[in-house]
Amino acid sequence: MKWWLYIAFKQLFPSGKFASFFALVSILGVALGILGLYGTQSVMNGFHAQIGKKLRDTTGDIIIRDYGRPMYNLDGLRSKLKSVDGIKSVELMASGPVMMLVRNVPSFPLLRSFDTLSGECAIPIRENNFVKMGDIDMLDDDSIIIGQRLAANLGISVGDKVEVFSPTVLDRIKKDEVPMPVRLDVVGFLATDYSEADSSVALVSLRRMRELYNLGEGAHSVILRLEDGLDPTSFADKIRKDLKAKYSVSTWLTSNEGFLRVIKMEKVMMSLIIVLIIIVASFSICISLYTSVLRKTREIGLLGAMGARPGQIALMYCVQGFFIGVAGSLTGLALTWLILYFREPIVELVVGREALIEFYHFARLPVKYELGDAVSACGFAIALCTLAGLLPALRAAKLKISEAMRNE
Amino acid sequence: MNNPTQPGILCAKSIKKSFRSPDGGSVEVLGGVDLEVPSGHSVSLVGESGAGKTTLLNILAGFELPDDGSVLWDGVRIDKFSNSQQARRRAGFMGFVFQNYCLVPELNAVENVELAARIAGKFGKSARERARELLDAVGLGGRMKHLPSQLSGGEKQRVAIARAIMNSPRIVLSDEPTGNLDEKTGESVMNMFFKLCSEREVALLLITHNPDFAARCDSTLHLSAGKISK
Ligand SMILES: Nc1ncnc2c1ncn2[C@@H]1O[C@H](COP(=O)(O)OP(=O)(O)O)[C@@H](O)[C@H]1O
Ligand SMILES: [Mg+2]
Repeated sequence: MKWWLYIAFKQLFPSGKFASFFALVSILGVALGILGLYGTQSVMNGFHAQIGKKLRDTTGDIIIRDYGRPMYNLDGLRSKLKSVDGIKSVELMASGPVMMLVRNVPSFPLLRSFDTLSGECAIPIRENNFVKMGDIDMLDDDSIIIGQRLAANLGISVGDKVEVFSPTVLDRIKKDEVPMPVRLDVVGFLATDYSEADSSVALVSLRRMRELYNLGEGAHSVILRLEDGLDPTSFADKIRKDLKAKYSVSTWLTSNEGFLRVIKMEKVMMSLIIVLIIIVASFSICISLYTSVLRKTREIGLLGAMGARPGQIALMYCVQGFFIGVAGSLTGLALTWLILYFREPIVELVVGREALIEFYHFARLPVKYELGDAVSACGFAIALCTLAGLLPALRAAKLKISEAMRNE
Repeated sequence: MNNPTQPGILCAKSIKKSFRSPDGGSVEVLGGVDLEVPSGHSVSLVGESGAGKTTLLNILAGFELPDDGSVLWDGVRIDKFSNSQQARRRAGFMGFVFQNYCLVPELNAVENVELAARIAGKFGKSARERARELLDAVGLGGRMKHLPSQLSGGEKQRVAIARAIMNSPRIVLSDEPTGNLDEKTGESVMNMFFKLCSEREVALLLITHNPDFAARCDSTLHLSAGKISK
């Protein structure tokens, strides 16, 4: 072993001791930084993956629209799309806001159609059991399934009746007709666990929706669900090319772009703040090593007298920073995995399970490890710690033997 | 005893050295010093405090450049070497014992002695054995695994002496090795030091304030007013 490596190691782990106080505290400091950074990133990844899945499950994979206008004569398009490999379902969908009266209390949910005749649906209502206290098969032209949070807010139970006015009542009022509401039976609650949907959406049959919006045989959009594992973006590109700009084609990613970007930004901002921990840790490493250089001036001088070259003396300190970076990173990764593995009892202890379910609708704190996060966090920590060793190293290398030996 | 046909192991020729004083002037410390340490001999260097003994040692060791004059190690001018060449040569040629023991606090006694060999690039089983043997020779056979913090001043200086001898140098330069030790301890450390050097035929340049130790060397040089007198 090179002597400078040997001394660097011995300074961190002196003979007859497990480790020096400096080494232990520095490694722990870096490890906590990594735990903070990588742990937060992993939990954020988990949240994002969950939120992404919910967005996809409530939006559908690909949305085809006529630039906001109602779409008609869709049979050809539908059968053409149905024959494409990889498309699981093609749903003609109508949706829009309505006014809903419950015991004379108005609310303004977003109605979404469900094609009760074909049963074709681009969101996994059946697969994921989105309907609670009832069944999607109970939906007919005179019934409605209401988002469960909306229902809870309005005090609606299954079996209640609600009155619905669509925006088309305005036309009737202009023609001096008396607008008549549509009375619908509540036959179930929509529970997607995505609070945005559960607190504002209600399902009615496609036929009822067409009638409410005067659509005839048309729809507002055609929604596609792809086989799992297919990339919606490239699929959408293909369809867009086939349709030759007749319709606009978007995916759940692009139609939720703003929200997804906010989520991504959130991760970046959190990371930037938490990175400060690692920076502070490296500062304290720098200060400790620098103090050690000052304290050991004469010993460093004697190393020089014994034939140590300045470069080697510098390496002796850089290696210490580097080693602390590596050991701290590994410890940090291990700590992260350990703590996130036991996250359930920890979360329960700290905030309580109820809070998690109430605010995020996740029964379990979601976690998703990404190799890139681990590599960049550790790489950053190691680089910073090595840099922290560089300043003391340069100072040590610059010592003149004669001056070092005169040092008091 | 001084054989003029055999050149000294360490020679200095008309060494001059001045220091700039803080007030801007210049103070001449060495004004043309000639010195020769014959192979295997011990030479003591005495002089008042501030006479320039340490400065001379620094120049002899190559730690500092003289303003004028030349230093020869085993007959070779050291200003011919690059810094790293000089460092490499020094490791095998010279040992050092200073007033402050300068042991690496994280290494135990054997490891401190071994370190000299490691830096010189020679390390292995034989080095460890030699370090043990040297510690035995300086009377620390029972303190091999002690850390410097667990050793007394005299014991630390013994470790430092063993370390200076570790690479079988031709000469050891020693600057007031008993400066931090009480009289009795200093006496016994020096007895051991002299014995070790003469047994192993290592030349010794000893800077000391103690007239007894100075007298026990083969010759004594007085440094005063920047010049050497016998
Ligand atoms: N780096 C330096 N700068 C200025 N003056 C110095 C320096 N080193 C030594 N001196 C001066 O040189 C003189 C001799 O110092 P030194 O060699 O340490 O004496 P000694 O070892 O004989 O006591 C002292 O007066 C000291 O002030
Ligand atoms: Mg001195």
